Amino acid sequence: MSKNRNILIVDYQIGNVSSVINAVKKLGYKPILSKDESSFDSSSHIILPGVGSFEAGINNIEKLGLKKLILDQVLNKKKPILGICLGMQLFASEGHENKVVKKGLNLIDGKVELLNSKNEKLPHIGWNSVKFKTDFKLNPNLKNQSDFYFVHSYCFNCKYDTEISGITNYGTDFTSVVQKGNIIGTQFHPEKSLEKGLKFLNSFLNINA
Amino acid sequence: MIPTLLYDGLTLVKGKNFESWRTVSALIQQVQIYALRGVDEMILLDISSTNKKTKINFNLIKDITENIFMPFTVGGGIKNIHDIQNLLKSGADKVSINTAAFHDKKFIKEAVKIFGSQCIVISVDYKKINGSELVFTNSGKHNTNKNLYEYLEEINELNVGEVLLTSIDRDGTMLGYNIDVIEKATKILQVPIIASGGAKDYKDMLKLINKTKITAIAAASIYHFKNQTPKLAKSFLKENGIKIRE
Repeated sequence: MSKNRNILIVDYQIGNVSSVINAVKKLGYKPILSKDESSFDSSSHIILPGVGSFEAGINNIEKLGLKKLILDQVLNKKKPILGICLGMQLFASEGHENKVVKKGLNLIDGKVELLNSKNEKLPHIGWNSVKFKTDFKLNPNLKNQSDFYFVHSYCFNCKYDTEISGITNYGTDFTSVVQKGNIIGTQFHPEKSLEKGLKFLNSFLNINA
Repeated sequence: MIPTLLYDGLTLVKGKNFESWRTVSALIQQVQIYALRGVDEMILLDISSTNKKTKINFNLIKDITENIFMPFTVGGGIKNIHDIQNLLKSGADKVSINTAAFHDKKFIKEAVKIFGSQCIVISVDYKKINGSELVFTNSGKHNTNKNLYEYLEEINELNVGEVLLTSIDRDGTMLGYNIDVIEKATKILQVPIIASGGAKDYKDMLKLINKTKITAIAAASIYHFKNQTPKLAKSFLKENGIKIRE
């Protein structure tokens, strides 16, 4: 596959996506911010970005008719998808926020819940290190630990340990990377994590390429 | 490790005690240099907007964020939700609000509700007058006569993500951080503080971190006028046992 590929950035009108677009462009690919089926079809990889609340996120995805599209692309067409921050959390079966429970995309079993950070302040904002599982292929570093930039208050509690690919500690250990086949999610922001972040993103964009 | 970039509408400047601004370099050029020098985030403050009642140059923010892949905070003359929207659209991740935060708490609460607390930074400038620390607004030009610590208590109720705390007395002096005030502030504030104003050298940064448990430090002069870089600062801190991003 050539580098001149379309990369779909799902436009579900939540949070700031300009850095994701810029990062994909910087790496030499063609970012397309869209919610149209034709754009999904013409893209090799999908990125689901987002910062904000689970409820607002999943509501927008449903309202815009994106749920069916995403599931079809990911489950039937097996396209690699990267969820970033809220985007990753939306992969979960359900989200628990202020006692409201909402169903997610149900791509990876688990619940999104408030991070039990103990004495640490929430939101968790800043650089923190990610311990990757040794067999995780997108690790941008030779070491099994790298620092990335985080901004969140909730975390993804996976049902199956096999789907956890990275762990970070903030008062408590939480899942910072998930993977289930072609479905990959990061709680951190690769597009805000300097060279290592771009490297991570590039490895994702090179899956199947 | 966060450099603060002060912009006067035309070029990058650095002052002393918020006055006698000196031009230091072309903005975009400096931003790119920092991006290579191991900084963790950047803060750009347009020091002319509030007092001249102008808006920040959104295209400039766009140009900057197209090329730096790190958290970027922008401040200066922000008065309403629309201003924040425009800045985020231009690629800023967080906005820093000073004067408007002091006068309009409702605005800050609304901004937190719409954009999330992680997005809103309140910037507080203070100066010692007759023995007590007072809050100043309008780029240090207006004395509010408000006690700093009382104001910090009020900020706790606004649920913002961070507070950028700058000492006007120390600003640009390279005399060292105002450690006593920062220590007291960290005890009052429930949100992380970015300490700014007076960084002398790496040792001063180490002292601040060890004494106050602060997690983010800003500096400008030592990078502009001294032969010191964020990268060297970080390796010094690391050698001294501080956990720091690599």
